[in-house]
Amino acid sequence: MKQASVVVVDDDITQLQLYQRQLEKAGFTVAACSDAATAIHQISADTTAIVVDLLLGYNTSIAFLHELQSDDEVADIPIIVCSNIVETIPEGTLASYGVHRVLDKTTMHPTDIVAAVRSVML
Amino acid sequence: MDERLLERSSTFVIAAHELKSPLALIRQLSLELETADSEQERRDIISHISLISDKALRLTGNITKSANLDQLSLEFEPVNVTQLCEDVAHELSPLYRAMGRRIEVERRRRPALVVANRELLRRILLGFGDNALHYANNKPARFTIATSNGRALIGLRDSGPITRQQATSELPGRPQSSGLGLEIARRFADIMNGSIGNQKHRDGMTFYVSVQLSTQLSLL
Repeated sequence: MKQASVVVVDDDITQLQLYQRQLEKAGFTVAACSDAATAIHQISADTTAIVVDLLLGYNTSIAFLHELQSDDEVADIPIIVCSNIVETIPEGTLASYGVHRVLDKTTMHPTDIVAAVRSVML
Repeated sequence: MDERLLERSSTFVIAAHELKSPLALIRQLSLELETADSEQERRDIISHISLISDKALRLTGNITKSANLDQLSLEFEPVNVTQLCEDVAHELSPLYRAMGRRIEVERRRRPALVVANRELLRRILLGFGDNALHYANNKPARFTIATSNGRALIGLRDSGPITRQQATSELPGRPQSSGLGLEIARRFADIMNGSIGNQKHRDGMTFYVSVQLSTQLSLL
C-alpha cells in the first residue's frame, strides 16, 4: 500500500523537525518545507494532507492558501493549520481555504499532529 | 489611558507574543522527550530545548536591559569588531548547527576598532543572528564590516525576504515579525550614538548597526 504523503510548512526548523519525527514514526512520508514557495513545489494531487503554520517568513499563509485554492488539482487536499495565535482567528474564517483542523501550538501534544492528519484523510 | 501606559501595554503584548513561540516549542519538545525512541533522539531533543531556552533568555535579557537603559552607567571603549563578530558567531554556532544552518564572519585584512559599549553591541549582533537563523537556508548568514566617513557598519547578511521599504527612522521588520528585536537594537544603538539600518539585496537582506570608528589605530 502506498504511503500517505504529508507536506509540512513551518519557518521554525525545530518545530518542523518535531512534526516530521512524529509523522514519520506513524508511517507517513513527509516533505518538510520552511517556506511556502518550497512547499508549493512539493504539493501534488498525491498529497494526503498539508500542515501549515499561520505566520510564515516569506509569504503569509493566507497567500499560500489562496494559491492552493486556485489550483483545481490540489484545492481539495485537506489542510491543518498549527499556530500560536489560534485565539486571534475568528471562527469559521479558515474553512473556505480548505482548512479542516486548527491546532493550538501552545496546548497541543506532539502526537496531536498525527491524530489530526489521520482524521482528515479521505 | 495615559499614553505612556498605553505604549508600555503594547510593548508587553508584543513581548508576550515573541516569547510564546519558544515557550510553546520547549513545551512540545519536553512532551516528546517522554516518548523518545532512542538515546540519540533524547540527546537531540534535550539539545534543542537548551538552545531554544538560551535564545528566549537572550530576548528577555534584552527586554529588561532596554527598559532600564536610563538607569545604567555604561562604559564606552574601543572594541575590536572583527573579534566581537567571531565571538558572536561562535556563540550562535551550536544553534545554527542544530538547525542545519551556518553563520560566518567575512574576513578583513585589518581589524576594525569602534567606540561602543561592548555588551550592548554584542546584544545587537546576537539579535541579528537570532533573526537571521530563519533565513540562512540557502547560504550561510555572514557578518560583514564596512567602514566609511568615520563610521563602521557591522551587518549580518542573510537570504531572507526583503522588507517593503528602505531603512527609515522606523525600521520595518520582516513580514510577520513584530519588530520588537529591531526596536531593542535601535535603542541600544541610539545610546551609543549609533543607528540601525538595512540594505536590500536581490536574494536577501543585511541588517546593520552603525557606530563610530575609534581613532586609536590611526594614531599608531
